[in-house]
Amino acid sequence: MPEVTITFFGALRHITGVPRLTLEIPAGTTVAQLKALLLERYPELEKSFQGIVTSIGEITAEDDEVIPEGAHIALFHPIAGGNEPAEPFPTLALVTEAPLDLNALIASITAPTTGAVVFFTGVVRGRTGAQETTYLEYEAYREMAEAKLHQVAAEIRARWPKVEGIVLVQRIGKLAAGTPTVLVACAAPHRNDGAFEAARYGIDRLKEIVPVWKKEIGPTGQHWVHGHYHPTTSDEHPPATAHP
Amino acid sequence: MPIYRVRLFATLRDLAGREALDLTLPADATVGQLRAALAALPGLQPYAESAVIAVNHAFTTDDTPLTPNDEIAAFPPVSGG
Repeated sequence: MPEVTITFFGALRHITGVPRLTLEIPAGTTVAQLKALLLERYPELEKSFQGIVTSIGEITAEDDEVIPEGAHIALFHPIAGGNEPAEPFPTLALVTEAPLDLNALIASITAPTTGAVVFFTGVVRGRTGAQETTYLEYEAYREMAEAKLHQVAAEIRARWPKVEGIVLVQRIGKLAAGTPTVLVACAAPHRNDGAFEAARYGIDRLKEIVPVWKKEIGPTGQHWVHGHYHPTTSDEHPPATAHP
Repeated sequence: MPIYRVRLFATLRDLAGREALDLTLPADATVGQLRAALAALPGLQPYAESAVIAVNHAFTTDDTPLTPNDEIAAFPPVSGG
C-alpha cells in the first residue's frame, strides 16, 4: 500500500505525542478518509479537528482530494489574523536517556513556514590536551531541568520573536566519547531571522541554568565537572531585549 | 522546630552519601540559614558554601524565605551541555 508521511503541529502534536507518522493507506484515499483513519487511531483528535487545515506538499488540500503516494501531509491550525499563529510553534524541551536522533528532532520543529534551522550539538570529547576521556556520566535534577529548558526557550522567544520551533534536549546517562549529548535547534523563516544567535544563546544559557552535571571517567580515574555560574533570583526573569 | 528536606545532587550527594537530608531549622528559616546548616555537616563544607540552592525549581538568594513544604535542592554549579 502507498506510504505517506503526516506531520502534526501545535495542539495536535500534544494529542498524538509524536511529531510525525508514516502510514500505509489504500490507493485512492482522500483527505477526509485519512482524517477518519487518524481519528480511529487518536480519538482525542476530534476536539482539535475543528477548523484544521491539511496540506499536501505545502499546498492546502480539500477534503475530497486524493492523496498521492509518498505524499508529505501536514495538519495544523490556520494563521488567525495578522501574523500571530493560532497555535504556538513547537517547543521540545526535555531530558532523555535515549540516543538523540538529530534528524527526527529537527524535523519535529520544521513548520510549513520554516526556511532555516540552526542547530548545535555537543559531543563527548575523547581527548582534551593529554587527558583521555572514556565516557561521561550525566545526571539531572530532572523536573527542574525540564522547567529550566522551557525557560530558556521562553527567553529565546522573547529575544528573537521570528524564531519558530525550538528544540532543547539534554541526554543523560553514560555517554561514550563521540556521542552527541545535547541538541539546541532553532527554526525560523529565513537564516537572518535570529536563528544563529538564538541557538548560540540557547546552549550558553543551558550551561548556566539547567541543573545537569557530568562526571568524567578516564583511564586514570573519575571526577565531577563543576560549572562556574551561580544563578540567583534575577535568573528567573532576565530582562529581554528583542533582537531582529 | 520544623524539618526541611533538601534534595542533593552530583558532588553534594556523593559527599553526603545520600539523596536527601532532613535539616531542623527555625520556622522562618532562610536559604542562608539552610546553607550554614549544610556547611556544618562533615565533608560538605566547601561545597555547601558554593552550592546553588533551588526552592520549588527556582533560583534563590540567601535571604529567600523557606517553608517546610518547599521542594528544596542543593547542587554544585551546573555542568550540562
